Amino acid sequence: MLLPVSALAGEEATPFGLVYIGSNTGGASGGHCALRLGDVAFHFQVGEQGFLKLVRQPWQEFLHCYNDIENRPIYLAKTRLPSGQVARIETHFLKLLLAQNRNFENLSALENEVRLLEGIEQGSDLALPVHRLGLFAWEAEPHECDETLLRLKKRVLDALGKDFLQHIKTKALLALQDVDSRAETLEIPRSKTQLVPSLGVFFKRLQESLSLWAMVRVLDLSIPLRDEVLVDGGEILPSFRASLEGFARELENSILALLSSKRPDKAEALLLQMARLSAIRKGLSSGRLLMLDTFPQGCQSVSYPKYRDDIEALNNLLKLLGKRLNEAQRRYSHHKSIHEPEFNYLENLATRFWELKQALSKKGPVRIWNGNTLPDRTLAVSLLSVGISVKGRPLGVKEARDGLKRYERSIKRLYGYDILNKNCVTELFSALESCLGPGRFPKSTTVGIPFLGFKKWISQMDVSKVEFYPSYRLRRLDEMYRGQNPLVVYLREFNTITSSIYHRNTVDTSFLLFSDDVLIPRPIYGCINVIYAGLNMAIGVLEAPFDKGARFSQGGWGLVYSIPELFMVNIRKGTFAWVPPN
Amino acid sequence: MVSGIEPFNEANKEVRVKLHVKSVCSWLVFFGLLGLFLAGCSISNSVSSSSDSSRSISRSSTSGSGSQVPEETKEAYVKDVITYVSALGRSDIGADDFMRGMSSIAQRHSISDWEGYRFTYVAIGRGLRQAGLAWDEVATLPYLKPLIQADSSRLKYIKEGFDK
Repeated sequence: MLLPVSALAGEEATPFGLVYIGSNTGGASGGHCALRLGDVAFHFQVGEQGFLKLVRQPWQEFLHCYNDIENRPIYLAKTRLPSGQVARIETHFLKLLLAQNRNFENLSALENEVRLLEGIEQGSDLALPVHRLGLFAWEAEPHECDETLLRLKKRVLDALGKDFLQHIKTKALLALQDVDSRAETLEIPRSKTQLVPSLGVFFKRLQESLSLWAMVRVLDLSIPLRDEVLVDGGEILPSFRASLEGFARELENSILALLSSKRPDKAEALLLQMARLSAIRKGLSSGRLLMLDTFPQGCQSVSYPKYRDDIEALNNLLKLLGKRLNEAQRRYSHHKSIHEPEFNYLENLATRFWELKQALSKKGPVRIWNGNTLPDRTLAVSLLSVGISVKGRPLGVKEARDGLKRYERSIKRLYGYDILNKNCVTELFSALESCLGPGRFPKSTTVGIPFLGFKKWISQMDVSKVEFYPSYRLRRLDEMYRGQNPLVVYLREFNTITSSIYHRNTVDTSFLLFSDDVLIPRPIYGCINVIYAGLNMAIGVLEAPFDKGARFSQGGWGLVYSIPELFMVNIRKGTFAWVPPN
Repeated sequence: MVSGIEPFNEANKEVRVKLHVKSVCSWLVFFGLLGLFLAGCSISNSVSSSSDSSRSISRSSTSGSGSQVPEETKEAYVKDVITYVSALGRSDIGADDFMRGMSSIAQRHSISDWEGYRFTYVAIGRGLRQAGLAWDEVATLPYLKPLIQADSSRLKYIKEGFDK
């Protein structure tokens, strides 16, 4: 079939192709596969609870993560497909993502609902989580008022009527009393693209009404923010001040509009907007970029002993974050007003900057979270404290439990992980097959190993070129070879002790020599690495009472990753604590 | 950063040799055994795996502040809304369910007040078009009614997206 060049996806149109990510220690030691579609990478990852889930990641972030920090070589098989087919594939993957998110939201909502109904059955005092309420000092004394919220309340009452807040409060309480607790019709997802209705509505309605009641209380009493939810992103640049003031005015308008909105979950958004408004006004009066902390509650953190060997790298990272904050302020200075995505970008940036700055100065833990988030602090509010009793309502506890079990079974069937039959590469190929039909792509059942899948893709598809992205260490080595004496560079960089590019860390396990850039001597390097790891294990036995077996374990894993090198196979390439992103 | 950008043909020996060597090696027993033992298509996020290191601090810092710039966030949000609305099409779901779905999508892209943005309605219009609806049907959709009734300019923006 002949097609005009413009109808084919290639460099000129949307970049499309299969990505093979080489092996390294840590997750995906046997390699990984992804699909590049324009500026985005789609790939299947094993995440929470061991489910294999589709992930969408910006291409540059994907590269930075795998190619730089993870130090893995990447091959991209750029593939020609008619642009209509590429668009269909993109839509299909977005549908998969949409349905997947709905399915996991439903699962969580059903779990919440079962817990709630069981609580009602047992007659316990029920407390429901109210998102973003924890941003405010809920238990503050009534005389502690937030000036910004006080002014906002006046504006609301002037614009919407003096009884408006009382009216919403009464409505919320009535809704809490009237929420129907009977079991809903359960639709189980049969396929990965089926968008089933939103479930767990009883729980959601209770939560929404309670949130509305709590939101009105916050505004009515002008409850101040909690001090600990604020982060300091440094000085507000004079040129950015006007943009920030513009955003604050926009927030006030947004709050007025949301108060009149019919959106059932508007209270959460209102609490966030009110908290942001209060933080900005505080910041504007002090000249500091005060923002809300975006790290989710209960997120993991890295303790000081785990990062103390990388202080220099983390100081560089801190400088980069500070630079980005100033750049972002300058970029948005020219805007009359910024929108929520821009503001949230600043919030996330300021949070990372503040977190790292505080941790490095106090030698404390650093919280971590991947991706941007909206600020949230959840607070549980007891229904009894609002004067609501749910006793005596018709319950469907058994039906809800059965429904949850059925839903769980379906989720396991759809998203369960199986190392040979349902992994990152088989799911990718299966998704492509189900989009364009069988025969267009290599069969998902024949590509159990990432590299094998990639090889089949190259042999069966119309691949225009294979782009090779060498790992970060090899790129740096290449630069050094070109600018310095190659022998000196080699002798310095071939081992983990004298290398100027690589710094040893606990993630990479014990090893002495890099074997990813040599082929013939690899078994010899492997032998030395085996001996080195063995010695570390032996020393680890002696140190075990002091380091809880950490060195022994590192040595053991070092040995495991060294053995393939004896057979010419390299897995371990070393990873980096920090690499400046492009 | 990219090297070896040549057509995948006889001339591209470097890539071919590397792939060939890997191909042979990948079949070795140890690779298989270790692959089985160690593989897993995961890369750590904050919740799931080997995140207790300074490497994860870097990843957390750059992922939360670097490459996902606001323009990309908006673009991804718009695509998700189009997909959502096109999946619903003539569905008879209620307005509350629809709005909860919109909030969930918006939240994933760090947007809380999705109702307040013109690009939301333009995306809804594009989704309706993609679903194959006629324009006359749009105003009668039960899940859109409260949104449209609240502000007449919203229908205008939906039309803008519908005609794109």
